[in-house]
Amino acid sequence: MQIDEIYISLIVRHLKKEASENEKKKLFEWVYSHAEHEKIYYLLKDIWETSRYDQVAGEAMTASEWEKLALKAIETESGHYIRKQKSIRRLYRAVQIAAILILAIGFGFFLNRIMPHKQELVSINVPYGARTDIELPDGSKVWVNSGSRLTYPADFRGKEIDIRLDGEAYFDIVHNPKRRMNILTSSVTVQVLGTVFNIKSYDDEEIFEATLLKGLISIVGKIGNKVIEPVVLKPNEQARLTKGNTEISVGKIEPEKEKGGRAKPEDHRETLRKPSLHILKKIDTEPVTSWKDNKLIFKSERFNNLAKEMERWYNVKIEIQDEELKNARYTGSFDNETIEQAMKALSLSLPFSYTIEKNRIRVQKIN
Amino acid sequence: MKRRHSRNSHYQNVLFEHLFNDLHAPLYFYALKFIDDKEVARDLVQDAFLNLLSKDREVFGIVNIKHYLFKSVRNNCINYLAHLHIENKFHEEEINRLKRELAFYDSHKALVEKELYMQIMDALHELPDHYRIPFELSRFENLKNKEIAEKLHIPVRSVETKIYRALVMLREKLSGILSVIGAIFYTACLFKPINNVIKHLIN
Repeated sequence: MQIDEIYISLIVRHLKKEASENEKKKLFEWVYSHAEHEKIYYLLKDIWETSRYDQVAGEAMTASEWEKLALKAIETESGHYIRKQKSIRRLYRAVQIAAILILAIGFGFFLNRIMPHKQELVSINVPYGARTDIELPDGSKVWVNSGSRLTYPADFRGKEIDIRLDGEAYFDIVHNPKRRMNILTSSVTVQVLGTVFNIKSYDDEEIFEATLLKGLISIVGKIGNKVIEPVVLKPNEQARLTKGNTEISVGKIEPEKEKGGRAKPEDHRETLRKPSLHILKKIDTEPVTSWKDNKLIFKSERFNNLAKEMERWYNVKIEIQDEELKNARYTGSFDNETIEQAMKALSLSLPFSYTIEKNRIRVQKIN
Repeated sequence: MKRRHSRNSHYQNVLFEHLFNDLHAPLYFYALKFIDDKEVARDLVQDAFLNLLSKDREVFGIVNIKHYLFKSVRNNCINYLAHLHIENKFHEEEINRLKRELAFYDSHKALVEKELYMQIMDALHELPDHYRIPFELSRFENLKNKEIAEKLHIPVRSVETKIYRALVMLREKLSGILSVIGAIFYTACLFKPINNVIKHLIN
């Protein structure tokens, strides 16, 4: 290939680093103008440079560079190793945690599946002679009377909450339209949205009483073996149910049955066989709910029933040995009186004698 | 198993040191083709070796390790030039020329082997004096063209032509050997004994 003298000169001058900027520019215009020019230029440059290979390569300082490299290599290798070990350990830990989590979640699901209804329940037992008030998980307040037991779920999840009651309690339920509260008693169930009401339903008594102060409640369930129509209560109404569902309880609680009592045995029997639900309108709620304010108010109450209340109130046992005394009616209230003061007060309005012996009180007619 | 591995890694380390001793200078020389700074050139070669260390050496054949190292240095040079490009606009033209040259050596092998240098030296001695002397004065005595012209009592332009002719002749003499070397290029110079055999063959 024939190359113009001028470019030969430029190539050599450039290789010797004697070329000016302008000359370089001119040279590279020529070099880049043709692939063959470029190739020749590079090949000649290569020969030119390699002719001094020994001298240039001698400056490579291979020995000292090797030492530098070895040091760096050890550094990075150990760094790699440590990082690797660390990441392996971290991965191992992550796998452990993940496994535990998966197991726990799986176990949780399993538990949920096999026992979907098993909830932790809280039970409040109030002994005779005591009263208490509690706050339910949703902020509702409940006063629980003597000798009562209230059982409710530890947390109020779900649309229905079942509260079991044996005894007497005064409920002030926070309104929540998203869920329904059921008060389960040994007889009927009271359905609540948000209201204030009192329920008296001792399992060992034949009477169920639901008294509404505010809002709305409905009573559903069975009386005896019959499913009743839901009964809706309005404020200041009281539902009174005579349970009388089993023969055993009939026999057992026979003496203190209906109001008619001994006077009308036929009537009495009929009532026993046919449990009934009465609704009393526009009642005075004070005697019903006064207990929560530590007052025992009674209006025209038969001594027999009052004695029952007093037994729980004072944690005593009262035995009335005369039928006539049992049916005597009292009106009044006890506040901070002791049982002695209370008995004395009662014996003043209606003459009877009584003996107090530890927790046992015997009431006898004065002859 | 562990023992075998450690023996193996020991073998790897010995091999690596061999590789380094044989290839460090050629790689450095190669890098200097494109990088003006000697320190930088050395660092770029270091990086290539470190890069090789971080790879699993067992997956490479010995032949490929050499190829890999040259490619690695080449890439390091390109990256360095790109980095220079960003830092300094002034040298843009020069940097672009170097990049272009680097691209050329992607498909062509550079004469970076000591053996090839020996060939060049041998070929140089066979050149007629009127080509050889200007070349040697220029290359080894570092004389300027003008100084050579004065010394040899010839025009400067004539000095340049003679040097150019010397280069072309050296290239032509080498190209005969280069085709043979091209075939064994990669295996050459890894182990001195083999290199000596090649040298004898060429001679």
